[in-house]
Amino acid sequence: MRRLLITGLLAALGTLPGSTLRQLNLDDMIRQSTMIVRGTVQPANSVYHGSVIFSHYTVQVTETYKGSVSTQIDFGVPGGSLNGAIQRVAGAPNLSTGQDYVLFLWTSKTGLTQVIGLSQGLFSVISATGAAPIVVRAAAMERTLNATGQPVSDNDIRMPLSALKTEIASVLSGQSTE
Amino acid sequence: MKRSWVARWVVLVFACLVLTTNGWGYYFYVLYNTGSGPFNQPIVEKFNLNSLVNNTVPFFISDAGPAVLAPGDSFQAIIGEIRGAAAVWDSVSTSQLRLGFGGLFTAGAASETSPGIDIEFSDDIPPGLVAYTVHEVTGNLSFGSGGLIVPIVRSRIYLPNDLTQVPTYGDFPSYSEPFFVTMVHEFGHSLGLQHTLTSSVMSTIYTSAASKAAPLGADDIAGVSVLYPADKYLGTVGSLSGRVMRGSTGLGLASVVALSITSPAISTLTNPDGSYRMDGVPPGQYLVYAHPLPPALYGESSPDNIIYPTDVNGNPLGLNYNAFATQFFTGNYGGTRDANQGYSTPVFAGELTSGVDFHVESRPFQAVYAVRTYGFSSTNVPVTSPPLTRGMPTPSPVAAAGGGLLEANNSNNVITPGLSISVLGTAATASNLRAYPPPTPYIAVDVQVNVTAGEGPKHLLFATPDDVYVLPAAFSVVVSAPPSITSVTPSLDSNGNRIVLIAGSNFIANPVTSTAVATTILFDGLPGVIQGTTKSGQLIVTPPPGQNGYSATVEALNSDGQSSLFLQPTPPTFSYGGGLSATPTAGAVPSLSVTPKLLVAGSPATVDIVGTNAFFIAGQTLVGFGTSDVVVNQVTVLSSNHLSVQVTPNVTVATSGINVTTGLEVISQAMGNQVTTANPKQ
Repeated sequence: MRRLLITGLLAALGTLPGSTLRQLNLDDMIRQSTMIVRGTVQPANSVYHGSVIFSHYTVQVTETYKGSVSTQIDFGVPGGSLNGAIQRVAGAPNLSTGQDYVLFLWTSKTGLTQVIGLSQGLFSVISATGAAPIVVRAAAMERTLNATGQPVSDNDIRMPLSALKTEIASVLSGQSTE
Repeated sequence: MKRSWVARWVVLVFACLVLTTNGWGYYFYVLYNTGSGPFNQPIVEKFNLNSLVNNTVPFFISDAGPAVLAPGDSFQAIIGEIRGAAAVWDSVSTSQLRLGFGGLFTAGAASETSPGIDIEFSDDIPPGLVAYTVHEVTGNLSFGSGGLIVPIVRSRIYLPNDLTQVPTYGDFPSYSEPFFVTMVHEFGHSLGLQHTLTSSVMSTIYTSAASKAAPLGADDIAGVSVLYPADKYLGTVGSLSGRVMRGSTGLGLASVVALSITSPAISTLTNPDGSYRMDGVPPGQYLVYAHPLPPALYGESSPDNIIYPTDVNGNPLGLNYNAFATQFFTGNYGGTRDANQGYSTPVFAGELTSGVDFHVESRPFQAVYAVRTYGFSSTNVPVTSPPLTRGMPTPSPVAAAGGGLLEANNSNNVITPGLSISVLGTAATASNLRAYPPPTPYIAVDVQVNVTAGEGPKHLLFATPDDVYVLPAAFSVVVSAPPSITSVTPSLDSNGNRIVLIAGSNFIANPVTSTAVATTILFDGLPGVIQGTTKSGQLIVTPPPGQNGYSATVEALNSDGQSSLFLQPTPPTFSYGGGLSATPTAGAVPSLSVTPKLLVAGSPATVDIVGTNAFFIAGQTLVGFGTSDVVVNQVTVLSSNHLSVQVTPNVTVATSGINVTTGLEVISQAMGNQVTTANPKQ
């Protein structure tokens, strides 16, 4: 009886309580993003938004999955250096110039566009010769190979790009079962 | 003026010559004076105590407040809870750093030149994020207390502007456990602490065991104390040192943990060459183990969202994520995964226990990682690191979520083959490991606490055939149920002072004086003063001052880590009523008359403040000018509506206002004073 009770409560909780980050699932990100695009990033400039330095990047958009179509989008990542000040934000996404990404972006009321969920909305696109491209949550890139060169398997988000596109289209059309 | 890197190196080389080698412990923000080693002179980012008045970092709360509050919440309550969270760090006696409430500030109004912490409410926090902290440095090196440091010049904590749409929680009332623990966590970042893996308040969502009643773990206390050691503190604690090696290679960013069966864990990270030194360890016998950082979890940009160390030019040191099998120190080469075979390593006050080395084996990834445990109170409130009552006839279920507990890529919730769970030591036994039905990805065990078990945190071991994971403070042993409050009754004492009679159960008596009570009663995050108990067992409490008509939530916190929120997630309230002739009537708008209107930078001054509809109390009334560049040296209460304040304005700033805080009442008045430039000829 007690087990059943606990099971019900745990299920009702849905996600874990936490102190800083909430885990967004894929459908959450699709719904709450204001733009979802694929493209490569280039660092732009650093700008203060209020008291926080944001390192801005420009996305050269190759595909748009949500939001109005644009060839270039600017977004900011909290933290950076400007005028002698250095600000650090734990969990801010690490971006590689020229890397092919799918970005789930969110624009605030103030007009600032960021990656949703700090790093959660950043996916690397991996295209191998002769294989369909796959998307991998970016942070997982750090451990796709371990110190001995062996592939690491875990339960990260890793799916064909085509499947991600299908899921996005499904959620946006209201057909997702989740 | 920003110093060139060449100049910094000159300072640095000099520093290395004159300073003795310091160890570093815990998870600080670290730089090294070399990119290639030896890495024996880590440089940490922290507040420079030499730049602070009375070792106190002032913190300020944006006067804009959150735009949308949770139902029943108030900005005053939020201020009270944030002050309560700051008091958690302020009360660490082994740290000389203090936090002082500097009042409200107007974001962007002043360009601060003195260190401080700002708390703002932002519309720019993206979905998936509850709060975050930015700390700002200039990159310049300075001599601070304890040696060469990179001084933090400003820390800023950001909370959502809409506290009804906070991820996971929806409503995020200030009295709640998550709000308070989040604030304590973010304050820790603001002081220079990174995430740890020891179930402390500085742990991430994934492993934190912190609660409102017991927010700090031993690791948090040691961390802040080593960063800002109080006088003679380091002589009262000991140190451990050694190296974590894989073959002939030292492993950087390995976590080394010291814990005992009866005490919480203390930890550190290894230097890039695998060496480590853990300071701040209380004397005693410890099991010492090394484990890898967990893989970066969903939403993290690095393992545990750690900001990796760099060289002094900000260049990365080539550190990579390294997984290896967790190992307990055995006193000789080899180590063990069997905690029972671990060597009981002694730590003596003021001494270093060296040679605590590990020779670990690589693994593709950690078998089990990032586990958090849950239990449920009798009113079905979920509680992390659950308290289990000693003497219960039947075992208590403890649920757990984390990596590696269930088979990967199997939606049927199948326990990972070979996984077993046991309790470190003899305080309890764990049995009946099971998975919950899908889709909820949890497991559970039944834990039976032995009748002879001591109180306090206990640790779980998650063993697989080729690895082991240790979860410090997975549960705690208590001797009674959580406190609960059944009634809150306003009253007056024989002198006409406001008191509150609190009826309830499981309040803890002070073990030293039978008449006092160890339970703490909070009113919107600020403690009341317990004066005693009535014949019927009610607590007689003097609440913090508050304006007539104000309503405050009331919670009971016990020293065993349990709170009335475990049973009553929506706490009862206390309404500040009339009856005190000296206090303003309900609804009366307070205001301040301030003299002089002008403060001259660099010249200490006395500010005279007369309040209307205000009530000042000696020792409880605070004055702030909305900036850390105006230092309040002393507040003297001349009468219940008259203050004399000694201040030292530092530099030219446009003061956004003056605010006077007494208990839960905050009187904020824009442009009460202006600070102007000191005459450069003087």
